Amino acid sequence: MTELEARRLLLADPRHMNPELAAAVESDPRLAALRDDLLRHDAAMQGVLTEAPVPEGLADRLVLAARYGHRKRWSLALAAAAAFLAVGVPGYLGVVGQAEAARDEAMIAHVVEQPGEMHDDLDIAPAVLRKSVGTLGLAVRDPGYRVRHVANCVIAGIESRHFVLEGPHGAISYVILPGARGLESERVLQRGTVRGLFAQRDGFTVGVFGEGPVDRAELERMMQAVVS
Amino acid sequence: MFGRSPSHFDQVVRAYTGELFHFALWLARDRHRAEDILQEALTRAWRNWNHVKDEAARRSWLYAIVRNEFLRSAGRAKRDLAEEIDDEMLAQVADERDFTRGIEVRQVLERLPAAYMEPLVLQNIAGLTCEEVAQVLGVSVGAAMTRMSRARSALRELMRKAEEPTGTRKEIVQ
Repeated sequence: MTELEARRLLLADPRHMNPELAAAVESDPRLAALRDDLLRHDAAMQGVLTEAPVPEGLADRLVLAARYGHRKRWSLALAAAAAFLAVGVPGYLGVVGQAEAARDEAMIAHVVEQPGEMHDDLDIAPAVLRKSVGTLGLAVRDPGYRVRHVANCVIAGIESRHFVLEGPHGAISYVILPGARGLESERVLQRGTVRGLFAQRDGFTVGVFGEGPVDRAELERMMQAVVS
Repeated sequence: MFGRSPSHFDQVVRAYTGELFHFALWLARDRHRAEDILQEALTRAWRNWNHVKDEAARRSWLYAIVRNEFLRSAGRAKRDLAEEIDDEMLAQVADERDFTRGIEVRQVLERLPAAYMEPLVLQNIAGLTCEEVAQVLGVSVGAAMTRMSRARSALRELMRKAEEPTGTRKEIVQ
């Protein structure tokens, strides 16, 4: 094997060497140095390419979507119909309402347990907020208030968004959770000093949260400022 | 040999989700799009699971499906691009990623054309051999090797320049 051939093979793949190439590298310090250099660059590249964390629960979601994605809608419809026939309208609404309430609880828990996010104090362009929420599939309008914080987060195993605006009376926090089933009406939850208003918009559950003396009317106004 | 076995599918997906996600992320440059691409790709893979006769080719087959799904979605994504936002603005969105580490390497990687980079990405994310890379890209082994060889040469040159002390670079320019 000539040096030129060896260099070409190393440049193509410095990790997997056939015995002839391995012997050439061992006997030629220049080839060994080239291989070390290439492996060093590959390691740096690998570090950059794999540094993003894999979303939590991604494998489970992929398996479920691939194997049951199409059946899921049918089975949900059948289950809903069965519940409706078996226990009647109140029972059905009760079952679905419980699921929705659990989502509300998870959303307000996220806000209560992450006080640092509520107190984040950046000045993020409204376009970034629209883009970030838009990638989930929900269009939000320019709120007209300073955007203090935007974050990707996982709530109840679902990729969601959490952002904070500087409202007229202080920080107002929002959680956007894909999926909205059951309860159509708006509802309010209080956990400690945090009060949350929940509503459904275009297939999403939207939670708006304030601390302290914020009242329902204020939360409704802030809801309207972002989603109609 | 395995047929369309749910447990085999589950095992393979769980084993390769991380690396497939990183590949999709490199292609799409957006983690949500990367997830969408993966979901579509694996749904397609499940439908055609027993088409793969040689289990050793399973991994490169999955990579090829992810790549094809990205190419299929690329046209749609262009139409969906409603507003232009640069990377610096998007970096304000909080995430667990550390954006300061490895910044020079990332800048160098971004200067190489995607067609050059793709085989290197496949090798470095998944450790695929030249033969497997060729299968994913749908080209001959020789063509894949040529691309990788040129890409590494270009990458090495860029890295060498990036690693040079500033003073040395000034002297060269003068």
